[in-house]
Parts: sequence; C-alpha cells; structure tokens
Amino acid sequence: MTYLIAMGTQTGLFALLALSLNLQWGYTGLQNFGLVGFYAAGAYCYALTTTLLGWPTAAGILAAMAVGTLLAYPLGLASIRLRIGFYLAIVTLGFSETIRAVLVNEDWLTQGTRGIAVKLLFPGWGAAGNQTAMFGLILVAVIAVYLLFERVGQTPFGRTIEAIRDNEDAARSLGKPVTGFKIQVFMLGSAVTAGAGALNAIYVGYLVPDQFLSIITFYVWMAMIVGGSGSNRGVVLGCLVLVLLLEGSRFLKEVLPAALLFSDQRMAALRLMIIGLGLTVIPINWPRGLLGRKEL
Amino acid sequence: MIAFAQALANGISDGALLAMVALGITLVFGVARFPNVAHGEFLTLGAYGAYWCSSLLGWPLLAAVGGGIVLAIAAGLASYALVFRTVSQRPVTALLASIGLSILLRGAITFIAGSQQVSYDIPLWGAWDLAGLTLLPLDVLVTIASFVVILMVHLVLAKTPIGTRMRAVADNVELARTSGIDPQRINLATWSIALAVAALAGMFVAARTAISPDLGWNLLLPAFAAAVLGGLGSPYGAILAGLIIGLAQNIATLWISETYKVSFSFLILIAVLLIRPSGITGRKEMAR
Amino acid sequence: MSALNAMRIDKRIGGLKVLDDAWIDVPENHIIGLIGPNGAGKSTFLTVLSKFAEPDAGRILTRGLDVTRRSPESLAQTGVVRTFQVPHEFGELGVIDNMVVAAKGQIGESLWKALLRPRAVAAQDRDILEKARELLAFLGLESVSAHAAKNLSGGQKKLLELGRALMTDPYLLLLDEPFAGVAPGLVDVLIEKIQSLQKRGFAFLIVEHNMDAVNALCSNVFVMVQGSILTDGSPRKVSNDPRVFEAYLGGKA
Repeated sequence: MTYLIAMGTQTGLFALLALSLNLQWGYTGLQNFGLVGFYAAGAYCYALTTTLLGWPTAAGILAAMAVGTLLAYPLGLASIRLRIGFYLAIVTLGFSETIRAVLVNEDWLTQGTRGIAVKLLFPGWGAAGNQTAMFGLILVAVIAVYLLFERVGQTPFGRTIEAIRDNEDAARSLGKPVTGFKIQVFMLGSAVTAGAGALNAIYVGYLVPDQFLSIITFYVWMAMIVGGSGSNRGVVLGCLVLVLLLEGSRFLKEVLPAALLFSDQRMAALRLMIIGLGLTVIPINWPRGLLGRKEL
Repeated sequence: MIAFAQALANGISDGALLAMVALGITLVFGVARFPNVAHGEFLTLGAYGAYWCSSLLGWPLLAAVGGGIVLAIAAGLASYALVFRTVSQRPVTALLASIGLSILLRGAITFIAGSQQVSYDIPLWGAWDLAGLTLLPLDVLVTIASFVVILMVHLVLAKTPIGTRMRAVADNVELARTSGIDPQRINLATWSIALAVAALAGMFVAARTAISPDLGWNLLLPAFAAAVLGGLGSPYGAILAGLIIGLAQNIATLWISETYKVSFSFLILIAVLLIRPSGITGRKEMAR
Repeated sequence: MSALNAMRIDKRIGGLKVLDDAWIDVPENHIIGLIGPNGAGKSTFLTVLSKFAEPDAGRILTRGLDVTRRSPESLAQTGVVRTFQVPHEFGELGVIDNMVVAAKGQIGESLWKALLRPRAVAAQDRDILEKARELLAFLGLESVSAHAAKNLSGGQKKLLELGRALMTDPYLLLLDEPFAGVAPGLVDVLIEKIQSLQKRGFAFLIVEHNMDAVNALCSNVFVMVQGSILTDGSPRKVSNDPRVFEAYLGGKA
C-alpha cells in the first residue's frame, strides 16, 4: 500500500511539472528545457526559508513560487523576445546546469553535497502518516493546477497564447504583444514548477543537488509528448506511463533471470538509452501522443 | 602578474578547443538550421574511438586518431540519415530528436564503457617552467594541434570549391540551389567536416584531462555560448568567440571559483542575448 | 494625411540591395496597387512597410505618425494590418476562433481580469462573436466556421486572413497577393468584397500580379522594378507606359 502511495506521489509531482510544461510548450510553444532548474530552486528555497528562517510551510511554498517567477523573468527577457524559439531551449538548459553548480558550490548556504534536511509537515504523525499526508496534499495541488490551467485555456488569454503558438507572425500582424504574453506564461509555469519543488522538498525530507539532474527535465518532456502535448489530461496520463516505466524497470531486474543481470550502473545506462530513444523517435513518428491535439 | 599570464596561457588552450567545438556546432547549424544538442557526443565518441583503437586494438597513434574520427563520422552520418534528415523542415522536432539522441548516445557509451574515467596512454613529460609560468608540454602540443585543425578548416572554406559551396548553402539555401549547387552533397560534406573536427576536439580534451561519457556534454554549454556569441552559422565568428570565451573563463577564475567556469559561459550567453543577439558577426535574421 | 507614406526606403539582404530609394503613398480610403516583375522586391517592400523587417534607410509614416522604428505589433495596433502571401492561419484553432482571437482590446487577454471578472469577459466575448459571425457571413465562410483552420482550402485561408485583419478595425490593410491561388470564378467575388469594404471606409495597399483585379480596384498603381519605383499612375496610364512594358519583358525573373 505504501508503495502505491509512493508511486502516486511521484506521479503527482511529475504531473505538476508536466502541467507547467504543457502550459508553456503545449499551449504557447515555449521550448523550456530547464524545468529541473526551477524545480531545484523552489525546493531549496523552501528548505532554506523554513529551516534557516523558520518560516511556516505556506510561506515557504509561496517564497518558492516567487523565486521561480523571479528567475524566469531575466531568462525570458533575454531569450523569448528573440525570433527563434531554440534560444530559450539553450538558455534554459544552461540555466539548470548553472543552478546545480550554484547549489553544489555555495555550500555555506545550501550545504552542497552534504545535503539539507527538511522538516516533516506533521512532526507528530510519523513517517507513514506524513507520506500519506503529502500524497493527499500533492493530489490536491495537482487537481487545483489542472483546474486552473484548464480554465486559463478557456479564457481569451488562453486563446491568444494558442494563436501565438500556431503562428507568431500572424499574431504580431494583428497587434498582439507576443513577447509579453510569452513571458507571462513562462513566469506562471515557472512559479508552479518551483512550487512543485517545494512540495518535493517536504516529501523527500532531504535535499542534495544530485537529485536535480537534467534528465528529470527530459523525463517530463517524454511524459508530455507521450501523453499528448496541448492536452492537460493527456500529460497527466503521460506521467502515469512515465512512472510505470521507471518503476517497471526496477521490477524487471528482480523478475528477469540471471542471464540478463546487468549491474546497477548498466541498468541505469540502459534506462537512459530507452528514454533517449523514446525522445528521439516518438516526436518524429507519433507527435500527437495518446491524447494530444496538436502536431509538434 | 604571473597568475594573469598563466590564466592567459590556459585561456588560449581552452579557447582553441572551444573554438573547435563551436565551429562544429555552427557549421551544422548553417546547413541544418537547428542547434544540435547531440554534438558533444561526437566529441566523446571520437575520444573513446581513439582509446579503443589504441588500448584494445593496439593501433599506433595516427591510426587510432583515424579510428576515432571514423567512429564519430559514422555515428554522426548515421544520425543524419536516420533522424535529422527526416526532420529537416521541423526545427523543434529536430531539437528534441537531438536531445534524445544525446541521451541515447551517452547512455550507450556508459553501457559499453562504464562511467569510470579512462585515459590515453601518454608518456608523462615534465612541466616547463618559463619564468614562473607553468606550461604542460601536452597542453602546448594540443593547443598547436587545435590551431592547425582550425587553419585547415579555414583553408577548406576559403580556398576550395567545396568550401565556397558550403558557405553559399549556409548563407542562403534557395539562392545556392538556383546557382546549381546540390545542397544534399554539401550537407554531407559539411556534416563530415564538423564531425571530424568534433572527434579531434574530443581527443584533444581527453588527452589534456581524461575520457568519460560526459566529456562532450560538459563542453556543450560553453561551446553553444561561443557559437551564439560568434553569430550562429558563422564559422569565423565561432572561432573568434571560442577564443574569447576560453580567455574570459580563465581570467575570471582569478576572481571566482574554478567550479563556476562553465556557469560563467552561461552568463556570457545571457549577456550576448540581451545586448547583441546576432553575435559578433551580426547576422540580423537570427534575432529581432 | 496619408494612411501610409514611405520614402527613400533602402534594404540590403546579405550584401544585395533589394530595395533602393523606394517610396509609396496610400491616401485614406483609397485602394492602391503595387505591381512589378518577379523578384522586383514587392513582397520585401510590404514586409518592410509592415515592419516585419527593418529598413536600412528611409522613413515610414502612417497618418503623420513616424513608425519607422516601431515593432510590427505596434504598427498593427495603430491600425495598419497585413496579410501574408502564404496563408498564416492559426491552424489548430477553429475558423471562428481565428476571428475571435483577432479582436482588439479584449479584457480577457489580461490573465488576472480573465480569472477575476468572468462575467465582463463573457459579455465582451458575446459581442466579439457576433461581429465575427457577421464578417464570416460577409466573406462567405459561415459554412466552415466550425472547421479547424488548417483544414480549409488555400483560397478560404486567404479569405479568413482578410476577415481576421478586419476584426481589428484597421484603417489600412496591406494585402500580399490576395488573388494568388483564388479560383477564377471567385476573383470577381473577391473584387466585389474589397470594393464593398472600401465603401465602408477601409484603405488598401495590394501587391498583385492579377492585372484584372488591379485594373478593377486601384485608383493608383505603383510599378516596382529591381527594388525601386519606376513610375506610378492610374491603371490605364501604367499599362500604356512603354517603360513598364519593357520592365516586364526585359526584367530579371
């Protein structure tokens, strides 16, 4: 049972990331490859404000979201106003690598590779109680974000960002302030990503920089593409598929006979190969994914 | 003063290598019109290829170098034929595919070779002391070799007919086509040169440090920063920018921590995009 | 005051001078034509006039306002909108949404207001929808209003683009080859619609190869050859000008 709750929580955290990414890419066409950077920033911001400054949980989460928004602004300003979308891809990729370097190096603040502990949400409830509580909290967050983003999609704002995604020049020719819309979406998505980071921090209880490798960004992209970019329901489904795949590969090792007994390292490498293959082949041959509405 | 001269020397070495990598990225961008995130992996393959040829097969130096180049070119052209050619009109899909390919290749290398570092079997030469300046003979050799490679690429681009056609296609595909140039063949030539340069760059990095599956990936951000600073698509811009960033990174380490070397190029990238997105060579179509 | 007035426009692309001292004048509520042999620079000129590219020299004014350094969206907000030679529809959106999204001054485009004042937004949406339906009917597209825009025929996409531009209440429309790819039977229909729009007060600058349309619509025609304006005048005067004849015959393709 606890295993299912853990899987559910993991799916929920990915879902928050995927919903943010879907708003940015699926709805608006922003090539954000730095999700894990915002995730990490949010997580560490929560850890630091609650442990060092003693802030309450809600304040910590809000601080994390604020940090996400503030970091998004200069990045967006630098790259989003440029005509070509992959500048954002390069900048966000560099951003997440840089964040990790900062987390490792500024260990006077972040404890670096030694790690930083995060208080339990409900100290009196014990491990199992807290895990269940976190599952509940994250589930509520997923539902809230899902409903919010669905609503956003139905507003004129949502209509316009989809138009921008479909044809940016046409949107400009009608007088739409394209850059402004895109930066707003980038900031909103990053706020949710960072907030998810804060929830993640509470859930895992102990943060080290190596938890925030760039492969996590690519996991989320995979989940979004498989589930169907543009569809909020699709990307949540895609996260379920992702978590099943990740967990499934763990099971595989125990179920398979010794003939295929690769070392842990080899299994990890194999998993990377499969993710890489998926990320290469799926967008080309199956751009709509399961529930998606748009071509890539 | 000595520290500054040392940073300068290191900067030239790093810069020459960065110039090579940025050159490869910008050459491919010129014909494929998307940033190839998997480019680093061809450096890594070149390094490992040479390693396997010399350590496992016992080949002599030049043959092993050739082996590394062949491996990188084979993998690169296979990627082009199987993946990138099918998405030539869809730059975002191409970008995604290149990211997927990057992960796939790094995973494959880790799977085959493990993640421990290995090194070339190079005799250890003592460091030279030049009035307080410490120079490693190997570094000097690699730097000279880097400049030789860059010079060779320059000669191909400027003096050979195929080089002229390569520059024409990178400048304006439609115009080149109407002039009778076959873009397909030029694409292959451009890719091959870019891959060969990448393979050599990988070997040079490996010779100076060590070989690991992340060899190329670690250089990707500074190399992209250099390519953007130089103006995407401009080979000479990439070379100049590579040197600039190499020098800047090393001079910066006089004040900031060594581990921030790579993040420094990220800052340069942001600064370039904020101030002059079209880079040194100023090809305005790239930005608005 | 002119709806659009450009003078001494230069433009270089990769070392080649594609616009050389070009100029144009579009009076309010007039339909002006821009013709010339292939490769003369007409589309480039339109791209520069709509600010999708920067001129290397010269000035562009609309109703006396200097817009030479403005962004394309800023110019469009002023009331000058363009259409594209290759249709630029919002493919994944429905036809009706293509129209609705174009409307200016939508409260709901501010995310805060959209979430906090849903009733005001909905009321405005109703008005916009009505206007969109009227325009679609005027253009003869009401039968496909529920379709996804990417599924329309080329000619329908061009009409949709015209409709979209009209939704912004412009005073000047820059049309890039609106008759290209339009079935011969529909050319007259489109001519009629543009004339009808002129009666409603709109001004047009039309880049075109279809001389029937140009003759029927334009009060003044500019002839562009190799990046410069050779001459301008009424369609009849221009078609009788031997220099124009020569330009088309001897001009580079």
